[in-house]
Amino acid sequence: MTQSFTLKVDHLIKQFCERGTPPCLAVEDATFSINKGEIVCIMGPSGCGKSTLLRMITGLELADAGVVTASNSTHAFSPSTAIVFQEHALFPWLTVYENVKYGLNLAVRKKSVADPHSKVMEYLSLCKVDAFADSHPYQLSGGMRQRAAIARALVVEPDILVMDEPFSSLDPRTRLELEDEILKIQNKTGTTILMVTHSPEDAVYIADRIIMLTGRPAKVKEIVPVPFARPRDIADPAFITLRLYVNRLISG
Amino acid sequence: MVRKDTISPWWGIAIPVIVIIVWEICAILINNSYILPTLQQIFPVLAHPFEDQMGCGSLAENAIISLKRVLTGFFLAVAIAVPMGLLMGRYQPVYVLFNPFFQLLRPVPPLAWMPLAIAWLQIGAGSMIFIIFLGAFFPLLLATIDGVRGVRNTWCEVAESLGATKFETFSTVVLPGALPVIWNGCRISFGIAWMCVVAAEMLPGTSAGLGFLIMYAYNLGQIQIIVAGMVIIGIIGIGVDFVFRAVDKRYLSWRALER
Repeated sequence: MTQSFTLKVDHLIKQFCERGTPPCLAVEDATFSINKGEIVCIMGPSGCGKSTLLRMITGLELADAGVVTASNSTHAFSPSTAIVFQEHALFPWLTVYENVKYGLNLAVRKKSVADPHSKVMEYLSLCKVDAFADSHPYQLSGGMRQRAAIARALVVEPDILVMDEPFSSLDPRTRLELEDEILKIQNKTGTTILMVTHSPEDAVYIADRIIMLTGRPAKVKEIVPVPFARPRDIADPAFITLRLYVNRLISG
Repeated sequence: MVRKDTISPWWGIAIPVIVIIVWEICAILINNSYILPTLQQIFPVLAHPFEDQMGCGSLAENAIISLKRVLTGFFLAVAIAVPMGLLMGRYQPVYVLFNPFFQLLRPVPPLAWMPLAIAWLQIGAGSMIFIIFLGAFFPLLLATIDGVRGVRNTWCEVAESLGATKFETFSTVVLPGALPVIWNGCRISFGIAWMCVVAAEMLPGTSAGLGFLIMYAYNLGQIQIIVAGMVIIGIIGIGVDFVFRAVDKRYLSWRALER
């Protein structure tokens, strides 16, 4: 995918209907767009419908109204996405290598892959888990598991890498380490990244733009551009100011 | 590292050894082989498993007949309970439709079906296999449903987001994810099936099998053969369970190790 594209999320609406309760509006009119190669964080108060929004973008959940499209200069297409979840999303009965291979096996149907083995190894080493290729997930630390999960998502070479709070179960040091790694990988692959996070620090550290949602039902409250050059310094006064601003936006 | 509050697995032999010693002492004191035969009476029977007993065939022959019945009933149960459980665990409408029916049948002891089984399938292998099937079916069905429900939704969503069809998600995620629990259900089911066969063979109309041999020996007052038959039943039960656990340890241990 060398052409540039824009992902458009257009007036997305989702309500949940459960037996015996009035329908509950989860996402109300979400509209924004993301450019190719951009890193965008979605933030908002907990339970505001961030995950629902992500699930609609990846097609795991159908929207009640509105559309998600990607378009380049000539035509619209449905972007391929791959997801990294919070934790415990690796298949525990497969080794790290087999986990990454799993995604590739499914992708092979759409576009043929010349040498699946070296492709798997390539992404394992890109995410620096090649040393653990033959380990099972339960033998790995939380950080290593997430690296493997990222490798599994990237190996299918998605247009958009979607991450749902991928670092929330990791300690702060591992988080920063992984975030640097993601930035490095993104530099090489040019993958568009869409990530939900709770942490203003993570968002200001990694994102080009932050999409701030309101409380339930979710609407776009504000889109915050992050103007700093990378690598960013979390102790820089301007960084801290923006972080505090983002923090205030979430809580009120 | 050896922890202080653990002991060697070899200690597991201690209690059986004590029971055997107490048994032998009691047998000598009671001195009535119709109540409690001594080891010297039981052991020769066990030492010659291929020797004909009372004109009913050897211990080994009868054990094999019982095992064949158990395996037939057990595999029938696997063939129906596992697919049924997969569907019931995964699709709510199937569960709602079938669950009350199975819950109603589940508390009925398999042997209570014997009169009907005989009426439908006549005396013999057919009705016994039916009883064994019933004994093995319900625990396996419940285990399979539980196993499917224990499959994390995120695993399925990962597969779907990578483009897996419904069937691929089922075969590559739900099935392997549920397998350890299903396997444990098979293990429990086989144990129950093994108990059912011996009980079913004790009923009138049978002419072979370990249960029959035990009943026949009872009628002829051959208590040492009864005890030898019980020992064989126990040994086969342990052996099969060992195989189940070995496979679990070798291939399905991820479930116990996953935090």
